[in-house]
Amino acid sequence: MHLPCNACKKQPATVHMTDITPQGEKRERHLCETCAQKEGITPNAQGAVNLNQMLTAFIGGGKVTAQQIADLRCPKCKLSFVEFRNNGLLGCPCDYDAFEKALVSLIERAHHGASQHVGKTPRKIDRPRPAESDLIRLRRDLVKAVDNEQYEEAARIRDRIQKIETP
Amino acid sequence: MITDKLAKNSGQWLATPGPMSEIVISSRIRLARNVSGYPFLSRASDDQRRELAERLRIHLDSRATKGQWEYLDLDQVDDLDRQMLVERHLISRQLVESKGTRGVAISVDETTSVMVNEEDHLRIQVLRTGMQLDDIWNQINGIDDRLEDNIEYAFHARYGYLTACPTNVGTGIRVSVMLHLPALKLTGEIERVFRAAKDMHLAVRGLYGEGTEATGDLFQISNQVTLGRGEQDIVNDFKALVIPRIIDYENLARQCLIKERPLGWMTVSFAPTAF
Repeated sequence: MHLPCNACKKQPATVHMTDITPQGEKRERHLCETCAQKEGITPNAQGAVNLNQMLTAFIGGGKVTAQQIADLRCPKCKLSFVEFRNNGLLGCPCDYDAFEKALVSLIERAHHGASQHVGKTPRKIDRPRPAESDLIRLRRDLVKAVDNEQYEEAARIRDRIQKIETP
Repeated sequence: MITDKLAKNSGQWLATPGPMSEIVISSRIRLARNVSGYPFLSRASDDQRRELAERLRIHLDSRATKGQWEYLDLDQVDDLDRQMLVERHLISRQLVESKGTRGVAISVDETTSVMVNEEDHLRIQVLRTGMQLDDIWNQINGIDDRLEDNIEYAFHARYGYLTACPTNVGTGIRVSVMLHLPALKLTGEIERVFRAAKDMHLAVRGLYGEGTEATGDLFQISNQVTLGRGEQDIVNDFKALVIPRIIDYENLARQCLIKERPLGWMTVSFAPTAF
């Protein structure tokens, strides 16, 4: 025994819904497949599930298309947004700006709706001191000199390193 | 090498009981930091990894910390020592399993470690026995400040400290407290703790963090939200709200167990078996 569709009264109802009216009353509805599709309750079998639309609605409230998101690529590290979604790791600090349109909703979901930093900020931002870069270069030269058995050169480099380390 | 010294004693977080040690085994804070001007590690070349390690090593080995720290290049550490460092919670499994130049600076008292080239360029960690989150925060904040005097961190006005994974962005802080909760486990009430933790956006994990089993009824509770809340607020939540509540709950479960299962039931098992 099939329930007839509430709308067309002809077809057997296959979609059964219970919802609450704005007045707070419980309402049951039984529809056939065709009427349910007409009312937009079930998707149309002929490709009604538009992945683009779904993604767009999900990510940017209709402002950004899925194609735009798929095309996002960091100009600096060349990572694409799709690659990021696949492995979960960003490629460089610039990605936060390059992917911002798509990333902000992910960030908000991960952080209980927050997208603005609160807390510690760097006290002082300095470029690496020249001595630091020199030390890196000198240590590399030292290894190279020892490898090449240029011991006099190695001793000179060692002395320069010591001079920087103990000013 | 520092590993020889470590091997002679048990880990500091286990060796001495700390505040609330009847339930709180250890507390830990870690900060994730990246150096400005370099890609994150998934896109870094071998040369960039090496350069980062060298630059960071200079600051970790600096005169101010001479004698208090030892830096280990992980490629120079054998498998057994690596395993010991993982067991002591001084390095992560991820650091062991990853490839390329990477290392760790360890303080001689074993409370502090700074991993270089793990998921982020720097993972600073302070671990202490018992419940000592305030002291840990002060200590780690100081270490971070000292590094920050010499290194320009990747920082964004909106998103804060930038990290390779957006789940750590902002403060980059992870506060974890390791708890021994046998009574909650035995009574099955631990499920309620899991649910409450989830509602508060906290993660409950096993002894060695992500993806590990809760062996020995040891559970690690940690924050998941790192953006939109200050470090001190996150620490205070643990100190004033989360941990005291779980401790009360565990104590209640222990008392219930004692009432419901008086010692008599144990003596039965020692009674001679009738043949």
